Amino acid sequence: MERGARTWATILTASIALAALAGAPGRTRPAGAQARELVFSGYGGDYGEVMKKLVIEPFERQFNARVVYDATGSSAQKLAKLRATRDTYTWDVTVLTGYDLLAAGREGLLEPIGADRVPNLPKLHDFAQREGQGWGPITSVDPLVLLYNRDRVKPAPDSWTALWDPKYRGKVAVSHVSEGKGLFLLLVAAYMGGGDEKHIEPGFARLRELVPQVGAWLTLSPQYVPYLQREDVWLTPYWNGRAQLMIDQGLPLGTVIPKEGTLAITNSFGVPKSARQKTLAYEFINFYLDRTQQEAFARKIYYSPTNREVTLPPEYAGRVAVGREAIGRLRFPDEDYLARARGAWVERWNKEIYDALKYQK
Amino acid sequence: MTGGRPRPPATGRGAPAAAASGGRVPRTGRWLAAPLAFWLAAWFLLPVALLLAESFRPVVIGQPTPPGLTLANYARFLGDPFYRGTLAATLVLGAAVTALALALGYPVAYGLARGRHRGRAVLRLCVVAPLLVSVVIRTYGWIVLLANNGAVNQALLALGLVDQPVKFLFTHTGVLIGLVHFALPVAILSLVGVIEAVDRSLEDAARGLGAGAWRAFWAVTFPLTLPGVAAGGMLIFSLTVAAFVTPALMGGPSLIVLSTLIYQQMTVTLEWGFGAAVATILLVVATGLFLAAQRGLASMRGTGAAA
Amino acid sequence: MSRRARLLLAAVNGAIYAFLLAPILVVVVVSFGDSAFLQFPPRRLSLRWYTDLGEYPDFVQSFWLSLGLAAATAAVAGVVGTLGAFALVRHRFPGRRLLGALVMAPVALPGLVTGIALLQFFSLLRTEPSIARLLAGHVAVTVPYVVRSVAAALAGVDRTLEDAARGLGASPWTATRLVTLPLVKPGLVAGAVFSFILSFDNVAVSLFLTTPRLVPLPIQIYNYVESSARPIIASISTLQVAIVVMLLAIAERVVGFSRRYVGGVEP
Repeated sequence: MERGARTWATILTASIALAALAGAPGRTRPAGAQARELVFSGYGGDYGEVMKKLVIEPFERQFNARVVYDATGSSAQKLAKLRATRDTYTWDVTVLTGYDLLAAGREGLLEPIGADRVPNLPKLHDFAQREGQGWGPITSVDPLVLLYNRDRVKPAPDSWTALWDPKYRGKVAVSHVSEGKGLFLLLVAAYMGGGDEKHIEPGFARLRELVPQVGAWLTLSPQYVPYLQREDVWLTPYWNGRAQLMIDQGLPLGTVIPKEGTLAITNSFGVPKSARQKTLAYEFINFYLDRTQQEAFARKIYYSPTNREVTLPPEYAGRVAVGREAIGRLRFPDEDYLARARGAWVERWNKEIYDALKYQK
Repeated sequence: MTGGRPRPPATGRGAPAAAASGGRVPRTGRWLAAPLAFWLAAWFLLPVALLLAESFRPVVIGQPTPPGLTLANYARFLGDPFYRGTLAATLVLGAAVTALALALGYPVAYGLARGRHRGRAVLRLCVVAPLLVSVVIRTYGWIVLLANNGAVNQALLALGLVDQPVKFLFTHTGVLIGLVHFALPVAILSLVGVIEAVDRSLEDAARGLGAGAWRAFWAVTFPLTLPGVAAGGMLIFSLTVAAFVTPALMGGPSLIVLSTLIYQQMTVTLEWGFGAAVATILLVVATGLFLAAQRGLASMRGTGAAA
Repeated sequence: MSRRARLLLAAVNGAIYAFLLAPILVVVVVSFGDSAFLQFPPRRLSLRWYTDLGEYPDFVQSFWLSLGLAAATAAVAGVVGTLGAFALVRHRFPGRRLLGALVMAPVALPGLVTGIALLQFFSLLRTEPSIARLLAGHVAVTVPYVVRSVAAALAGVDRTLEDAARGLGASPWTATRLVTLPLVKPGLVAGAVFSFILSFDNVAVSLFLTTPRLVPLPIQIYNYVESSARPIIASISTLQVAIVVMLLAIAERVVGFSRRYVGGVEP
């Protein structure tokens, strides 16, 4: 037993030492910490890579600052974190989807941001300046497009109704309404039926009709890639930015903004009231809204820029909406209303889709 | 007490007997329990109670919550047949996963407990390996295997066992598979200890009296493991009703469990009052069942043990 | 056991092991694929997703963090849980019933609720984010496994052995140390292993307690996977499993997990 006890003691000590060591590299800062430090909360994966290379590194050089990148969580999870930490410091600036930003702002979690704090604001498209609400300018938009497998879906679809086409039964993927794509599909369906976000009934009716078509109910974005790649799914509503990335990476996919038109989701940056480096945070947002950064982002991950002055070479024309005309063709739902109505829709979606699935069997 | 038949296992109620056999410091109990009690109180009970207290506050979107208490969140859940159905579905799923995990885990645990030493270490590691992979990645593995054109369906079609792909994913079956897969290692490791603890000589004695291997197992070993099996079952049940990633990824909207609702309320709709009410109901029901099972176990044993 | 029975048992067990390992094997195979996408079966094999690991230092750092955190969690939960199990099984104290009932609660509550609750709580306390938060949370949600495991083992311990030691003049502590503890070791070890694994793999609680500098591996993977689906995650996962399995194997040699427990006496 003596040997055993010593072994345990060794393991215990070693593990505590390991834990301490493991925690340390993340926390000790190299000398020269006079540089100001900004904590930015963004997304991971490709977005994070582009953000770091094209925005953060130049920002650090220009402003003599350090940016610490937090890639954890979706917009909704970031919002939950903001709410849970209310008055204590978590981030200096965070990315949030439009309706999440508005929800956070209305709860008193964010600093209002006007042209005095972000001088680039007047350079944005009108809708992007968030008149009257102002908790964060819209930094990019992304339309919902119809993503399809070029080899399997012929001829190339031009209408949302392709999703309902019995030819593609079982080959359609749909997201839950609690996720952006699912929410916007509901809205698109409502618009198609003559309604809109405030008259959502036609949306639910059309979604119920879609149920037999659906082969995959996907909750997380990364789930889509295996299904698309294995051709389990041929058609799905998807965000343009990520869709273009998948095409670049070699998947045999095509995208189309259907003739009925489409809705676009917005991304914003917000500054929590509990932030420590507020001035630097505003400078960061302003920097991101600069023409150079906006253009770089559009080129690399196909997010549509909101800075009016951005132009892109013609080969990007079909792939990302840039400029007054292209963006003018997109519609933006009332995000304030979305933030408030979503709860009821989630409940309704849970019940109605569950029912529809039951009776389908 | 002379040698020979061993005494029944020690129990809490046996503490006075312990005092008779040498005298423990009478208040050792509370000191031994203190770290556990403190840890749970400070880093679980108190924070969770604070959050679940939200369930008594009204849900208002888009503004800070107004003052005042209400039972509306509970009424919303308990008064709605859909939500009640969700509670039932969660419990049924829990029971099904528990039963399957125990049934499948028992033979494996038996093999590990009674098997030869040499292979055991490797097999144990095989049992543990699935848990080491992140659930999202594990699910990717399931997609590859269970999708309509996945490996399993291709095999079934090739063997002529079915003439159409079987739909595994986004059905109750898919959720069962995913959850049993997660619960199995827990079941196996639990049961190994339980089976190992059974005195082999009892089984050998039965064999010596002429019983076949199967009979000896069934009549002697198995009943002795039942309390341990039940305890393991309660653990698996608890962890199943709390799972939300697997039901979402493998089942989609075909099976809505309480954790899915909680996730939606806490991170999407931000109706924390309602989410907290659902979480409280889940916790109360799960703990209630756990207590009832414990009581049932104790009366089964007839000794009042608290294990 | 008869030959037929042994074969049958082996067959059943084989099928169950196959079920357990199947999705993992898929991931391992995919990690050796050559394409830029997760592809099964892979068209061509290559080691590029292993050699490219150097380009993902975040993953490597996260791995070490998770490992250390899991080890610390197992150690703390092991100690706290064992003490608690002894108290619950062997002693009486005010609140014993209550503690026994509440011990399982962390298992039954979805991790994300615990995570949000802890985040909110730590915020109220105005503490600085640190690894201690993660440790507190991980131990809280894994200690029930240790308690249950040790308590089950303890309940099966033959008291006469301990009484014999006492009768020979040993103090209560010595009797416990030399007789009881070795007998509950399998339970303690099983509980600690659970605790280690569940901490290493934890997403729900960790998601809310991470900070930009403290990102456990499962969260790192989860973040990455939200925007991209390249096989790098397959190779990371494979390595993760391989390394942890190796460590567990080493620990097993040192501590002896599979020591046979026969009728109350260690051979």
